[in-house]
Amino acid sequence: MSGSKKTAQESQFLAAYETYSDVIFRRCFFKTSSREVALELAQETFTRSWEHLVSGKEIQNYKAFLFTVANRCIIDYYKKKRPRYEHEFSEEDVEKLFDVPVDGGQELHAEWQEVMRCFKQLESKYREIMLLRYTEGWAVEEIAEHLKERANTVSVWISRSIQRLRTCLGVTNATA
Amino acid sequence: MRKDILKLLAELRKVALTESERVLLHDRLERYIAMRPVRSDGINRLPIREEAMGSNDDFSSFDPVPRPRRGNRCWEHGDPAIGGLASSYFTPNYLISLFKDKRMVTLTLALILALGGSGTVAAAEGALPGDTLYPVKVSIVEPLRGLANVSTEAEAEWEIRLAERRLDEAITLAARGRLDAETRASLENSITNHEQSAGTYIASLDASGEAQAAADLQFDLDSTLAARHNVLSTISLALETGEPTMARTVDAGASAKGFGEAKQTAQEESHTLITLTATAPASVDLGADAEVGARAMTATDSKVQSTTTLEKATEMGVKAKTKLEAATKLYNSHAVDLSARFKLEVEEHLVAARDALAAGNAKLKAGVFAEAITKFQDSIRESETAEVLIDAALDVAADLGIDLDFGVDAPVRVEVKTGTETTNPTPATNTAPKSEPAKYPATTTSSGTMNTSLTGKVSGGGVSGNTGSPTNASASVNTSTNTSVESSTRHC
Repeated sequence: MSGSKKTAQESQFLAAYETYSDVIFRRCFFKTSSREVALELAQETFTRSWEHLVSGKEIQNYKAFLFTVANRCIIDYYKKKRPRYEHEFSEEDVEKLFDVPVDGGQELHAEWQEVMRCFKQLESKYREIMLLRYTEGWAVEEIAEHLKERANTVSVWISRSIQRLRTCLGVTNATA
Repeated sequence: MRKDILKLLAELRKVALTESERVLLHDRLERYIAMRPVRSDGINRLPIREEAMGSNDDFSSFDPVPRPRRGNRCWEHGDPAIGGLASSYFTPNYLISLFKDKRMVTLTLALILALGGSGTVAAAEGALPGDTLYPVKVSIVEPLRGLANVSTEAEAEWEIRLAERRLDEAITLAARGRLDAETRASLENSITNHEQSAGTYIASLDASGEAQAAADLQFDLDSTLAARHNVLSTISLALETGEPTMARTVDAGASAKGFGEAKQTAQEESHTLITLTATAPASVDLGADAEVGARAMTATDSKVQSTTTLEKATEMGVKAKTKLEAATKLYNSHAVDLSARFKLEVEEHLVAARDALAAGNAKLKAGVFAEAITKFQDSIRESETAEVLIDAALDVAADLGIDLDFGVDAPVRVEVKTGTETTNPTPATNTAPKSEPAKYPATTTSSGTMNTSLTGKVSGGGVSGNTGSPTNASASVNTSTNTSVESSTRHC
């Protein structure tokens, strides 16, 4: 295979892998809190997606498609692991989920912990949107399309999330 | 601070694949693509055959994550339990390719006819792992039936049904004490594959904008999973402890007279008043609830809540109510046949279904449609579990040779009180087939029971197509204002 000439579809798919592998991996990592599991799920995401092409179908929007398949893989993982769903993380899970080391020293780490404490108090849909918007860098329109919501609604939810984080952190509008 | 918050969230972007991980995944993906190439004619006919013949491409290290949707199916890998290497040629895609090649159509049909035509096919449908015709069932009959699926939705439904079939086989084998570790692992693998395939199709549907169909199928898959999981657990436990699933147990060598005596005893013991819904929830009046919900929606947040959600919740509520009524009716018809343990299990699920239905109604009235849908789905799941449990118990009883026929001489009379209205029962006409003498002992050894590792994984199965319908009881439920369903069973 390595030496053989790739078809246009294969090249396109591998290019999509190069572009979105980190995004998919990150998504899986945030949802499973395990690098090893995230690696497996990312791989499964791409193999399942390839099977979609093998079955004779097309992928119009790789980003959205891969994201959907990754979500399905994550749900399957939790269904096999235990009878709970993606959105039903326990407190312990949430704690693990956001226990992500960041650079920036002790002060930033403390601040991070505080933000994450408030972050996990948000409703799951708000957390999801904030991750998509500010971690994955999705545009509001993209999030709206993904969630089948209106862009205005998503904007409102983002503002509401930030407002709630502010309130939780004791930050007034004046200081913000 | 806002900037800090957003900056901190952006820090999460630093989570990424390492270079070695990226290369590793890329390499695996390339090899996977080589194994499963996209053919220009859309037919993927060669990979498995190449693999079977010994491809030079060593895939031993390609493990275990990349599970090809079709490539990992048991019949494609020549699972010894269901047909060995020969079955690996009968992949669905390969069969499709046969039909695309017109020269092969005649040969394929001739092959089917050579196997005995429709009679063989019909016989194969009832085959179990280890039976001679089982490879025909899973490698030919089912893939051929699968060819009829022309849409992604149909494919997903078919995969769910296949998962159910495999679990059905597991339950039957467990009841007969024939579920050894190898067969169990094979079935478990097959069920997992079908579940994954269904999941892939559902994801595909979702991605193509058919979110509603995807959600419905996902719910179907989930409820199937939950219901069958519970049934397997109960059956396994009952068999492990040697408890009967039915009210009567029959020794393997019991004579016809023995059956008669067992039936008589069961009839005498069945004068039990079953009150499932002493704590029954409030009435189920979805029409009125929908109106209340609609008003609440309009008054509170009409911009956010759509009428689609209201319709969905109402539709789900009606489904939940219908399902519960069907399960209750089935239970009333067969309560007398069930052992105390199974009766208790079923009652628990029915009560849970009623509670969930009531909770769903409350949410609907309050205009919280999403939560109402969840509650209604819970209710459907519980009702489904109760139904499958009853079906499984009846099926196991049939396998054990228990005569469920109360016949004309002793019809079961069931009364279902529905609040202010009671339907007078009529003598039932028996449609249950006469059972054969017991072939298998009523109690099985632990080796013949379903392991919990299987129950934790498997999804489909259940007992389809058995005597689950309440044919020997004429009961009806007031579907408009059913506040309490009190059932009593007794014999005329």
